[in-house]
Amino acid sequence: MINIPEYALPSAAVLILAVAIILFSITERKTYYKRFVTACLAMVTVPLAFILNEYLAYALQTLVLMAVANLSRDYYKAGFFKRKKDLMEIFRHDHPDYREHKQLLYRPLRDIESKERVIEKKLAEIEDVENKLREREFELKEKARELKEKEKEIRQRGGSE
Amino acid sequence: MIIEQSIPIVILIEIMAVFLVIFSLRHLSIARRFESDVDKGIVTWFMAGLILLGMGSMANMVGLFGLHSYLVQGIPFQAFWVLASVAFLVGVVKLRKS
Repeated sequence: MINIPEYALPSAAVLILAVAIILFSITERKTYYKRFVTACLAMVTVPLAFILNEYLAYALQTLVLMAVANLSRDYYKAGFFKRKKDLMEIFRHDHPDYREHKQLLYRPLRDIESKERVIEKKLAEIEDVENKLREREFELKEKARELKEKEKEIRQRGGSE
Repeated sequence: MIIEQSIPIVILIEIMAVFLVIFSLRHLSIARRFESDVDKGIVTWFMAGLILLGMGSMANMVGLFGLHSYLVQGIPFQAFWVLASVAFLVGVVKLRKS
């Protein structure tokens, strides 16, 4: 066993968490997982209570972890419903073209992810074709320019003769 | 008193703590998929902190049961509190920078 004073580690944890809380309190950014971050930082009460009484620390640890678990569930639900709302917005009108895609809403998340991967692959293919077309367009423009120059030269020769 | 002797309350609390951490991690791992890459990084640090807290609870249990473990032998379980605090601090710093 490493010889460390009994209250050194809890005190260090309290200090580090206190710095984190101060930094967090001056953070301007507001996100919806802020409550979750706050709950994590409330862990400061656990080592602090450990210095006073061991059992008090265990009680507080349970309370804080229950809060974290509850908020992580809220955070998960918020993300899920945000996504569902976005999808509902896309397929709000019952368009025949989108009817098949609308079914995605009622499928498990993994199906949606596999569809996303297929779409991403297709988009990459489209981008590839677009790049090829752009190159071809550039080549054709170059040829057109060369032909125009040749035409000009021929006209100039015809005029001088 | 008999209950306390057969199953110490601390062990029950620590088992519950590990389950609560697993429960939280399960939801967070799904929720972070909907976030941007920056926010994913921030949530990952908080998840790391929670994992360390769970490991601290397990280390405490190993000590309470008087078991031998190559992973946590000689490490006081409070060391995981310090590591978890550092992970939370990194998460907050990243949140401020983003």
